[in-house]
Amino acid sequence: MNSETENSSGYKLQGAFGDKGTQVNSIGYGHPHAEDIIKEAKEIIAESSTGKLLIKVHNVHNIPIQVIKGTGDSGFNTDSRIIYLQAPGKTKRAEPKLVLQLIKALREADQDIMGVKAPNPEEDLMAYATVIHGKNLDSIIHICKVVKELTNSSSFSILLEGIADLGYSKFYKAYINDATKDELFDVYAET
Amino acid sequence: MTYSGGNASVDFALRNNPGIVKTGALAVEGSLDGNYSVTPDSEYGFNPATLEA
Repeated sequence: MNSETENSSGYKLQGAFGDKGTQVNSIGYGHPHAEDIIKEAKEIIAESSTGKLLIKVHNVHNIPIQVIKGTGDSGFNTDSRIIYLQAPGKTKRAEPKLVLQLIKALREADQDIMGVKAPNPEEDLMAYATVIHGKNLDSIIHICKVVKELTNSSSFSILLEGIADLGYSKFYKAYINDATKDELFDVYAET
Repeated sequence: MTYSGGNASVDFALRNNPGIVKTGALAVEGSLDGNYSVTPDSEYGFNPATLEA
């Protein structure tokens, strides 16, 4: 993700000045292993048919992914239209939680591209929360879809650890047991 | 489930009214359910089969 742009004098422009800030660790929070993490996560995701479709969405629409050093939330930022993943600086590989967070963020980007936007929370908080949870539910279902499709892959057991890490175990269990939509709504609301 | 978007009010709304999950899902369902911004048939963000000559 570290990218440099060379100008006519040979001086290399970095960060937001070099490439509009879409492909760089333009600030000191940039992750030293960003490229390896993204590459590995995308390879795992692309092993499933749903994941392959999400990667295709990502490629066609050219959605930037930035990995930053940190322990906070990951996801798609609708304002900047960039996917942010956060991982501690010592992380060298695509840990299961990061893979799942990337699936979720890819779907969030997909939702945005399809025009599913949340209303202004300052105008109607309940309407905003309603749409946000509807979209969140859809993204988590996509995590479950991809993981279920990878049941026979070598990544499956570690992805299940990631599911537990993110607190989605009960939801995933309901999903693979063919829960009805209403049952999934209930599990989502309860957990 | 919590929404990791940094707006605590969103989760508060859910705790107070779990029914918004269903309402929200139904509200976005038409656009989201089974749909993607790139179809399996297309590399370009649209399905060529839907185009008129």
